[in-house]
Amino acid sequence: MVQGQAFDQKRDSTERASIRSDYTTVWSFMLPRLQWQEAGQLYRTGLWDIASMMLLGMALFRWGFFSNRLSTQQYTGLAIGGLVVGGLLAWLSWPSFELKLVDFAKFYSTHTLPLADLLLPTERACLTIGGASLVILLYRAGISAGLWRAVGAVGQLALSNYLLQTIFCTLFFYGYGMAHFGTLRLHQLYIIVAEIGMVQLVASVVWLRYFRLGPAEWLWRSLMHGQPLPLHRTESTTTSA
Amino acid sequence: METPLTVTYPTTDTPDDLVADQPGPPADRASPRPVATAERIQTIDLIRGLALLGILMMNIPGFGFLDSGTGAVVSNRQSTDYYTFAVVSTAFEGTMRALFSMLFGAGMILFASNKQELVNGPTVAEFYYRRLLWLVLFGAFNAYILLWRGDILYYYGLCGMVLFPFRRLKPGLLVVLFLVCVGIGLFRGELWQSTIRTNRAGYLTAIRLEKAHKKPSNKQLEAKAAWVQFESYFKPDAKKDAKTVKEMRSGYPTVFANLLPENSGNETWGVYFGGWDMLSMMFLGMALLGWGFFSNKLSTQTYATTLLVGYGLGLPISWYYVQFNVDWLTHPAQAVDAYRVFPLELYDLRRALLALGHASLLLLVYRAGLVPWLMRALTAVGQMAFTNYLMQSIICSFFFFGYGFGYFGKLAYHQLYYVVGAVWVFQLITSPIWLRYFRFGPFEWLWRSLTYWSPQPMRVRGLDG
Repeated sequence: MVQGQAFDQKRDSTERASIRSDYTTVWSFMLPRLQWQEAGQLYRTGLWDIASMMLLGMALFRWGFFSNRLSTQQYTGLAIGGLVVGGLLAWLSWPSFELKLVDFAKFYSTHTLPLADLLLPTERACLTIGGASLVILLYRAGISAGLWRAVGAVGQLALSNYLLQTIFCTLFFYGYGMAHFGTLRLHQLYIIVAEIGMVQLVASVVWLRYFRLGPAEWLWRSLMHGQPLPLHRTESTTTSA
Repeated sequence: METPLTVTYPTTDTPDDLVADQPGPPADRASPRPVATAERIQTIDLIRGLALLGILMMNIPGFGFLDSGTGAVVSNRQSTDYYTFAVVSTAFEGTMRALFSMLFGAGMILFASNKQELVNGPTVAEFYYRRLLWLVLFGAFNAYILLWRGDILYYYGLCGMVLFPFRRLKPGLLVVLFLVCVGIGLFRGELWQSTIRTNRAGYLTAIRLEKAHKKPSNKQLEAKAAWVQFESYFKPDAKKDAKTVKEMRSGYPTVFANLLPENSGNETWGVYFGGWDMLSMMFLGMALLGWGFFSNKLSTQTYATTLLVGYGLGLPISWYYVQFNVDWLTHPAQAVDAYRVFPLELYDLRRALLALGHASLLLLVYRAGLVPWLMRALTAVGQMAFTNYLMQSIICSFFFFGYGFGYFGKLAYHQLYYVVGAVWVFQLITSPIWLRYFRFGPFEWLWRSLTYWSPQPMRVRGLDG
């Protein structure tokens, strides 16, 4: 088990070689991982990880949190409280998290409870609620209103943008594209993140000037209704958005 | 065949849509029930009763027999054990689960189509999904608490959720869906077989090279190791078996721990890779319901034809299939070398044919009025199928596991079927008696009450006050 956590140069080079190969090699390399995600991971953790936050989101929606219906005072409280408590929990669990990555054997023998794993759900709930409150406060205050409009457009096209990230990143990193897998340092990856973010902010605003729905959203909805829905802004509305 | 092509579902109140459940919220249950409807539903319960009792034939080794023991059973072809195995496998294996799945699909249509949308209440879809979410939990209960490692309720709960959008489809299209699911299963089977063939080929090459004092490639060595590991599953491992027997005859926590990996494996990988097994038959069952097959609406001639075709094609195919299976269990290497496509791929065809044959035979017997008392008892068993299924887990786990009588591994293969017989007699007697006093089986009542989130009336009308 400890070995599974340890640094394995041979396994890493196999992984690098596989992902930098052609499509079929990448596919066969990914297959067990994808299956594990869809079966094992979903059963063990995925369901609880996702369902817990969905339920929390349903509650927050009922309280009017997402629809901008709380008072500025309440959002301020949530922003400060969420970020402070979340940050504190992150700070508390960081050493245990780091130790688990660096020295699993020591982590296992010194910790009776996996502190980082236990605190994580609360930590991320606090941090996201805090972060969302902060964004809503800035939006209310009219600070960088243009940015929030663009972010809103990205969110409206979330499904398309999510799939686009897959397309961009696979083509950038995998062998059948530009094969940059394993060539960048961790901090350099965030240059890519920023690039994609900017592209999506601009492209989403432009797209929505001409179309009602993102391409993937349009496809999804058309499939759901069993007929092609109007996509262009100039077309007459037959189905409410 | 004179099968009506229009979908004809019972449109009025029916007492039992899936497992002895009355559709509709309690308010509209008082409406009188046409005799014809009751007639149709009775045959659904009848077939379900057969499937419920029959399924124990395939489940009983899973309760009380070592997995590795089957190899020994099939290697001595003169023994009673072998004959028992051959008959059960050829005539029944997979067919009862197929019937059960078909009736589940049919039941889901009945459940969804017999209800009126209420003005202010929950929608039909909501009841439908509540019902299946509870079924998923019952499945987890059956696996992790009652400790039945072959539970199907969990699968049925999940597969059932897929069925809802297809409930209004014409039978022909449902058959297409059935074929698609079977096709996916076949494709997965072929992928699995090709891995085995590749490993076997790598193993043979590696052996040949090593004999010639040459070094095989890494890939060949990997294939060799994979094949050796695969082949070892078929070889008896006395030490491992002794450990399993000891654990299964121990207390509850030990049995729980022994079964945990298999239970969680079933609920993850079993569902992910094996869900097609059930989903395919559910779609077929929905189509058959639409054609009136289960509701005793076809002509005697049609049932007789189905019987002849089902058994006439199904039994020879099944015989061939089981013979391959025996070869496979006793000499896996030779079996892999001898066949380009394993006859294991005939599985769905054979069980669909045999299942239709069994159901037709039963309906013909019912029509002929041959053994009315048995038909009545089977109908009662089928009406309480959910309770009876869980009861089989309760009875068999207590009989075989250490916290009960601890008979695990003590019976010979053919002796397992004495237990099956005893459970059959028990359920055939208790079910009609129970239904004389109560409307549903106890677990049906619980499931129903949970679905509608209020305790449902249980006593037979007239005995209520």
